[in-house]
Amino acid sequence: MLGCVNFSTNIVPAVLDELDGKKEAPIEDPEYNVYARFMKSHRCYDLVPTSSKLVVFDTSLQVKKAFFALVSNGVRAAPLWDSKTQCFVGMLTITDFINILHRYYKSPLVQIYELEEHKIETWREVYLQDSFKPLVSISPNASLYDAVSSLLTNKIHRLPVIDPLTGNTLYILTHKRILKFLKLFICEIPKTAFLSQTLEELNIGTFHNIAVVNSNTPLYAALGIFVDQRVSALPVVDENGRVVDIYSKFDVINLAAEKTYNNLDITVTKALQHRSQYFEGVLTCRDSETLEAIINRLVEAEVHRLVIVDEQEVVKGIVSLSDILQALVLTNGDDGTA
Amino acid sequence: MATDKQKHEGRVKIGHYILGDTLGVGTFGKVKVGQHELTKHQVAVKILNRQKIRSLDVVGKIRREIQNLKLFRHPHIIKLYQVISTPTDIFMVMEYVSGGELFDYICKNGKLDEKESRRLFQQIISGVDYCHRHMVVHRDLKPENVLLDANMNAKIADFGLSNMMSDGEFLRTSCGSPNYAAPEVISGRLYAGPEVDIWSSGVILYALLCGTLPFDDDHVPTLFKKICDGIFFTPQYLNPSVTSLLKHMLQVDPMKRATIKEIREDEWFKQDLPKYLFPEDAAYSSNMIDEEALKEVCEKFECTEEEVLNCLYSRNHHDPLAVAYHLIIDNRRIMTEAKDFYLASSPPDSFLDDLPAHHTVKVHPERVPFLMTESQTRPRHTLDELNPQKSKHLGVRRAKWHLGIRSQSKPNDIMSEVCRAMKQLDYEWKVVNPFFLRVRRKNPVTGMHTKMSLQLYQVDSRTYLLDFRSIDDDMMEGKSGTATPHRSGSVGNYRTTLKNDKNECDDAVKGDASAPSTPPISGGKLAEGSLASSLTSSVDSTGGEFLPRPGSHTIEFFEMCANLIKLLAR
Repeated sequence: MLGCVNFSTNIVPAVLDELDGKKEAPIEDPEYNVYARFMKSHRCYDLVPTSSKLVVFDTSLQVKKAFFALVSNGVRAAPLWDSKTQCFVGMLTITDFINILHRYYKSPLVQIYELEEHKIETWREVYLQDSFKPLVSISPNASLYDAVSSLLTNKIHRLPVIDPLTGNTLYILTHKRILKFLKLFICEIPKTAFLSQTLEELNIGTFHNIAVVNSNTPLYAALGIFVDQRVSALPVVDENGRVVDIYSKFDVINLAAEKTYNNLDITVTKALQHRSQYFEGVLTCRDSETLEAIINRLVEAEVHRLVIVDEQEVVKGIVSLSDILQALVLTNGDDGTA
Repeated sequence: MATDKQKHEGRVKIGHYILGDTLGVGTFGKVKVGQHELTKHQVAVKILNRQKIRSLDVVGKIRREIQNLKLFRHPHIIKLYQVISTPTDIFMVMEYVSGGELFDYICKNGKLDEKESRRLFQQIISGVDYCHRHMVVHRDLKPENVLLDANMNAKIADFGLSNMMSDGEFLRTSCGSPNYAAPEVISGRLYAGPEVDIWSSGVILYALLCGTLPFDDDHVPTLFKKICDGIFFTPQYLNPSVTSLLKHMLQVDPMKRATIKEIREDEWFKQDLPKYLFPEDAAYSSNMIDEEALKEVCEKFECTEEEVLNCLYSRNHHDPLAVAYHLIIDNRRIMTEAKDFYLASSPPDSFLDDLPAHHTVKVHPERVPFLMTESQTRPRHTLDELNPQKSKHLGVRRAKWHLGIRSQSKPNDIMSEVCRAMKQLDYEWKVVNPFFLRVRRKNPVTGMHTKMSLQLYQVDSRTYLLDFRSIDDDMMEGKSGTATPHRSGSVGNYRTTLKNDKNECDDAVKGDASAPSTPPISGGKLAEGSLASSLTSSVDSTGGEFLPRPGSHTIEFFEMCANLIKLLAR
């Protein structure tokens, strides 16, 4: 159950291309579009919990304190409030933490000044330069379909639900939440043949240029891969290419929790030691498994992706929640523009 | 649908009871008489429509509250025997009394003589005291809720029920019969604590003695004004000593109003007071843990002894486990002291079978716990380590948060300090009463007004708590008209969960402060859970799109509080 819980930013364009026109769903098929229709008939409001924790940061807060606050509150992202303009301007996520570490780290002997001293607004000015974009958010009255589209097209993983009436952020929507919701109601939806097909048949997932690390890869290099390739997790492989562990973006926040961010020269293996007591192994799958089995495993384990391996446990690819939602909602017999 | 309701020879059966005539229609729904199919034992069955209950969550808090109501044993409180829940309704099987409502009795027979009034009033206060000691406030006390048994004894009905209602619902219903509502209730404040019941008891006492109501007017706004002014006519025939008690109980300022303790010390009240009504308080003074009671709590709530002991040691008196523990001890005491009085109407054992399981209720995703992932990072390092003064204080239990200021200054000094600070901040305010202000601030960026109210509460003999409360009546305009919803900054909002898209408009109760039973005096748990959680707010679900409002209501409210707190903290 505990497994690693991660979040990702990888949506590989190649997948989109390959899927185009691949699925030939006849219009009269009752299965046609069934997931997209489901998503269109439910609203983001339906996913908002009765009660949940939401942490908001003022942009004048120091970044370091903000990351500590994420940890101590057990949340992974927080909307940012700019009191000068009196509006929400963005999100602070673990990706920001990774970017700061990667950009400013020099050596274990030098304290990262920018992490110690910068305010959130300073960091945003540096990082975004002049490319300030308005915060991507969604109304509780918007459909889940719109939410999925927004998550996928904006390549984001945290979508704040903002009530137009009060301007309050109600919840932060994620792929995980949406897929979980879908799975809860999947029994009510006519079961499609789609679900019984295998990953290979459906060509869901990423199979090329999989970013991996080995157990001796320095942590700093791993962070560099997160930054450059915009992936959310790195399978750790042995000399034969077999998966032995996984290092995800989520694991990086542990550096804040343990205040060990001043030494990024340690290996990935060392950085992963903190979770040794409860880590239950890398969650993997075969490309011969059905989409239904994959969805069940993802939802039950509450992880963001599975590593696709062959008989020898050698990494062949990665299938993520983004891939699944893309396939189910935006691709399955739907042109995505409806 | 798993329900005990079945057609039985053309009659509806709930559990072992065959439902008969409707006894009345109350705030929550119908009350019908029920008769046990074998023993013919009569009960009253209250049918609560779940839509009127603030949460569908019968598994958690509400269920524990109902469990506790089942433990309430008092000679002058209607007993709750059994609760049967179905997906649409909750049936409460209760003690049946044949004498009808006190209200009808007064209407029919006019005022009662002083002695008889006092006898009933003593019984009522005894019941109210019992519930208050077990952290339950009635909030909707009125002669309609005081029933009479065959021997003309008072029995209070519906204790604890108002706490299950959403606050919006409560206000709407109390607006229906405002004659008994305390000024702070009709002025829209939602902290209906024990002092609210004192006011209502005062109104009942007046009704007993005079046969009329102290505040009455066909014109509701005039009635409201009369209540808020707190001026009532005292007939010549009233004994001067009872007049002063009435005046003390009908004090507009909740802080000046009589407490149960003061009423019990009142000379008029003490006359002919039966001993059983206020038994010696042995269980409360004793520090010994009662092993038997402890075991019983564990059994009933399926928890460990440690959990109960933690509550007791941390003096967390509002925790359902602690309440249950004290109730069990109390029950045993009353059992020996006033045995025959209530055992006579207790139901045969066979009805005490447990609640039917509510399966078939679909698990809503809202119930899905995500805690596991959170707890991974949680226990490692917390912000409190950055703050060495605080970290020692945090035990196993979560820290209690409140949005407000505690002070040991004199109440008037606190308020003048607050006003000075607000002036400096350019806030505008209206004095509702010396300890209750409505405040607004014009947002210089959005040009909109942010509103809040400030209320000073007494926590204990020396400590006061200034509570901040967000007011969002702007967004409510044209929506209900009756209730001005307040949103406490310190407490998260509740709303009903939704199952059906089509019913959403009806179902989406405007969420509101969740601490209605918190007593302003005596330091209740004003707010648990983190400040951050209170950002959750309700959603208008009428489907219509609005132009997004600039800013954020909640954040602006927090900023308003923060500025004031910062200035006051200097």
